[in-house]
Amino acid sequence: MVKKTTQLSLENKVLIIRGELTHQTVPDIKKQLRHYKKKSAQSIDLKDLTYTDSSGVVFLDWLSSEMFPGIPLLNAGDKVQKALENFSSRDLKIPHPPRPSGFFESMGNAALTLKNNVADILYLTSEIMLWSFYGIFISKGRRKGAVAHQILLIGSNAVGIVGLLSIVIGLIIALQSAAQLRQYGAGIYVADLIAISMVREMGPMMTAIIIAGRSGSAFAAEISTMKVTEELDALKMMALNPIRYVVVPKFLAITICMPLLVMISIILGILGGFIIGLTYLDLTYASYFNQTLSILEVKDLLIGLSKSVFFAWVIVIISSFFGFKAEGGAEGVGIVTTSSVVASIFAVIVLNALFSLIYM
Amino acid sequence: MPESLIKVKDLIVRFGEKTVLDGINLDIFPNEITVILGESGCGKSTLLKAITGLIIPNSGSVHVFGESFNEVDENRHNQMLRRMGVLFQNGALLNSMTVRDNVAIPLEQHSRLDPGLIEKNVAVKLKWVGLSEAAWLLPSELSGGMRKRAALARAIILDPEILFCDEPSAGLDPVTSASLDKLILTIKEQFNMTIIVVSHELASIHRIADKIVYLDKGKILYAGSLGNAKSCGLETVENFFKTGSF
Repeated sequence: MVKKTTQLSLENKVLIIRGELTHQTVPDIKKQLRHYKKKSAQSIDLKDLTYTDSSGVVFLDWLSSEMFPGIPLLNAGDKVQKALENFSSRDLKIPHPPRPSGFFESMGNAALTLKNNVADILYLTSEIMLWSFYGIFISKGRRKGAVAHQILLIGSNAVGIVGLLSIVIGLIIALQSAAQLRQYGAGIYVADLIAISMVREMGPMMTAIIIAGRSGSAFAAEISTMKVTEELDALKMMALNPIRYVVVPKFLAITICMPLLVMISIILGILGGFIIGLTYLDLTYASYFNQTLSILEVKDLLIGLSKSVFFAWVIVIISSFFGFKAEGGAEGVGIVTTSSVVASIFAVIVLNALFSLIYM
Repeated sequence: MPESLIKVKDLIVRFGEKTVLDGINLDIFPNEITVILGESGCGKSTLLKAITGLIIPNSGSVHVFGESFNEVDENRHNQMLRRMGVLFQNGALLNSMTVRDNVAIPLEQHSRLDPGLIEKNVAVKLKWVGLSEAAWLLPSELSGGMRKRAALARAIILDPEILFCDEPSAGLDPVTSASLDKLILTIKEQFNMTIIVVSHELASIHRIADKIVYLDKGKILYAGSLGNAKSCGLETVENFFKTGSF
């Protein structure tokens, strides 16, 4: 590209601009203006200005209204004159950004949003519960095979990752505690520790966190995409309830899958501890399992499994809530997906803490 | 005859086994609106992408401003791109930015203008496309027509020499479509711009086209003036202008 040249000079109080004014040349010309005093020019001669783009016109307007207020632009050629008319910014109102909210306004808005969100979550929960249990008896408006398909996605496809992480967690907890307990000759209690922690805490919570990250994000992304592409509106217009059609199959599937995944997690976590017991603590197969069975009660298992069902429900409700809230295309989908995972994991941990307090 | 601004020679573009553009030869001259039309899948958008350098052809060449994208270094490539503006089919506005910020991107990134002058230039362009009041809105808050006008403001913010418009009327009602066409005509007139439009809206073609390029199965069936196209002796082309369908 040919380098565009522009020159500026002041002769007898007339500012003369020669060459071309473009977004490339304007910054240099503006720099040269530093050498001129405010009232040193009485007119601007554009006779030798061969071309100006819109940035040049905006600059000329600035020159004649702010740098040298009120001075005329003279002798513009036809092309330049046309550009001056087309791109004039003289009487243009520059749009200002909206005024940011004040402290109290922001607080009020936050409170209002919180109230609305709580109302929305309660409404969503009631709709999901209604259609999950009452809907079993009504076949209309139900998607055939949807629950089975969701069981495959949420349950079967997650067995590998849940199993692998559980066995690793079992190994780690057992290894860390064995190092301490064997000093006191209490290595056998590794079996107790692993059994209680996996059944009551680690199994349900870890599975819930994996499912929140894996399936919860998928729920939020799917529902939010359906929202921004108007698929949910299309369902409504076909007289189908989007919650029943889209969310309920996920809710039923996760309710079935979660306890099963937790069982797998518990068994493999205990297996992880067993490996350490056998190899590092030199325990026997029989002593490890006898110790495990002696410490565990049916109540522990019931607490662990019932917790997992609540975790599952929280994940579905939160991810659906964020999914339905999505706005603004691809970026909106990304935002709600992230928010849904963060909120689900947070809710699972807080809920787990509550359960721990209740069933001490 | 003026020198062509864009010269396409023996262009072949293949996607896998499928030949999408098959030996295209085309010259586009300054200050004209050329409309590329043809059935869906005939290669219109691919031709546009090949001209703008977004697709590397399998063979043949595209020369824009006398240079080929394939033969220049990255700096030169970017300099050439700054002399072009593209209005994408769906606007392609950045969703996280306001209309004002979207329009300002090229000036902020490619010029050393101070923020005050950028602000004024953005205001001028937004006024041009009739979106002064929407400057601080996000793309998600705009209608389809407003989104296209905002994208048009962004495409012309650097006063490019060539403007590419990919289906500007797609998805718009006839009134909005007509007002966008009017805007394209005004831009051509006032900015002395060369405009290449991909479209198959007959009404729009009649309003804006100086020349048309009729593509069929990756080949040019007809390239010439709009007036002659209606009686060019090619049944497919004549039928299109009679019935408005392919």
